[in-house]
Amino acid sequence: MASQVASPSTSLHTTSSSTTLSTPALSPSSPSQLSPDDLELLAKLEEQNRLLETDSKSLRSVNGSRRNSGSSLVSSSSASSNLSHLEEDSWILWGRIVNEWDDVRKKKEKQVKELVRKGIPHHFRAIVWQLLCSAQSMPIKDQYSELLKMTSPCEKLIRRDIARTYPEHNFFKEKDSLGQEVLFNVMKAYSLVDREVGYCQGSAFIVGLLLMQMPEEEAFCVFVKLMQDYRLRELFKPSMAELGLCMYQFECMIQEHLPALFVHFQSQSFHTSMYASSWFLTIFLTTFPLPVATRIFDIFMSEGLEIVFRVGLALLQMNQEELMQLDMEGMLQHFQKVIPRQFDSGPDKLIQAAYQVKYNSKKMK
Amino acid sequence: MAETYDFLFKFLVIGSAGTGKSCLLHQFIENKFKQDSNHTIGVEFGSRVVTVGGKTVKLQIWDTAGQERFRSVTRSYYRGAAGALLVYDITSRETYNSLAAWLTDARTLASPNIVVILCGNKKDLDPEREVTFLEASRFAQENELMFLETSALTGENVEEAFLKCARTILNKIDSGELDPERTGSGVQCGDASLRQLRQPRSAQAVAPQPCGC
Repeated sequence: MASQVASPSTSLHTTSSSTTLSTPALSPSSPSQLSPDDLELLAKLEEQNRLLETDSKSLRSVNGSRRNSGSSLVSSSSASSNLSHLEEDSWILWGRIVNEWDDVRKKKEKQVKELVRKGIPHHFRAIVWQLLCSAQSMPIKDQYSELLKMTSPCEKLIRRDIARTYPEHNFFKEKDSLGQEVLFNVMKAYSLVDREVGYCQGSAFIVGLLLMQMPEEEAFCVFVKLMQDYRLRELFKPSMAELGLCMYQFECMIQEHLPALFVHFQSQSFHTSMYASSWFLTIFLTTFPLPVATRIFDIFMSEGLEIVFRVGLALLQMNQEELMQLDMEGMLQHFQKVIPRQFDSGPDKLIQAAYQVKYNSKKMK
Repeated sequence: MAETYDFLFKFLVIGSAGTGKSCLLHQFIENKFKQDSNHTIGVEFGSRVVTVGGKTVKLQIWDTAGQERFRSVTRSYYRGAAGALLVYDITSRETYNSLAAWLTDARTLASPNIVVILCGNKKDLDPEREVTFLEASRFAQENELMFLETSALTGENVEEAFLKCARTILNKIDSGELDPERTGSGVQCGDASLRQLRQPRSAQAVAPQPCGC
């Protein structure tokens, strides 16, 4: 399970705190604290995040929404000089985090989580996702090319869904394009290493997102990790019992936190699975446009399935008033048509609300 | 605005993955082919009010994920369905071969009297056909199903499939074979009191109250 960081970062490891940080004012006796430079960077980042928020509002009114760019809030807004400073700072910070990953993760776990919640800069996603799930140097990676030569009993099933996974996305939309080919490859390879799960509808959206960030071997390794360590394998097993459990747990959360809405849902025979199955099975990738869903996925990578419960409840909270006035059909339409477009201007509000949700991890076990 | 209708029928669209269930639904609701559609995860929903035999009928249609293992998720939607489109792909024998299993599910989980229309979809792909019209008609006959070949792409027979199913249910109501008052019939009468629900209620004022039924 030890996450060995691959060579590009270890080579830079030598330039860690002792050499790069030259602040004589401070004694070197607090190793678990952020270094002054890091703190300064963090503060700058905070400040400029605020700037960015105001700035992005005005940008939006000029440029329209950014919903078709796959990039994160930070990297997509190099429009003003303020923002490019921010970009630079955030790159420096993330560069450091990546280079000193083992150390940073052990000692500054909380800070890393906080940063991830703000969004991983687009250019760092591939590497940070791999680090977050410890998918680097997995032995299974060496089997990948062999797996592709084999035949899987799920091939037909997989093939049938390939053109129906992100059909509007440039990388996947053309028939027999590179995107479709690598998506097929990874799904097939996985179905061969996990015969019990094989292929399950929904999982291709997750793999597709990984492939938008990284090459197929890496995406395969990350997917194997997500299946093993992030409850996904349980969700996608043929019985799908875990999905039922998630629905039940989510329902309990509604009952506890939004009792009036819970009663309304019941009186309308409005079942959790009618709207929330795909939230869990695709981590909102089939709910929201990619820029929003990718930000949620950042957090999923760092904190696991809890974020789906949190965002789910935050969504209900934010929509409660409207939902209370709708019948079952009206609510279904609301979930299918209105909610997916609610955060086109950026998911920050949603993510903030998600972190205000009281989540009792003991109860969820 | 409240819609007015005489009856509400609950419908299902079932069948194997990739047969075009969601596209049939979309063609019926929007009158066009859904070009870039994701594969369905869980269930999706659509509704439309149609006029059949002088009656206005609201069709409330549940579109289900086709992969076998999703049956555990979609089963709960079968209960109380009055009609179903049972869909296979005329270019895929495999999807045809699994029809019997889908039909058993519909009759055991919805109701033995559920009105089912068999739809051989992707009629526009005739050169790639793997299942003949004749063969499927026989299957339909043996299992007391109505049968049409449809194309969600061109729209051919899509409206007909839904209407035919609705008409049959109406006939069963007229003849007394189907009692709309019976719970689980999949039919609701569209009387004014039922329609009230669509009207906005004051959200804050309403204290949680048990459902009246």
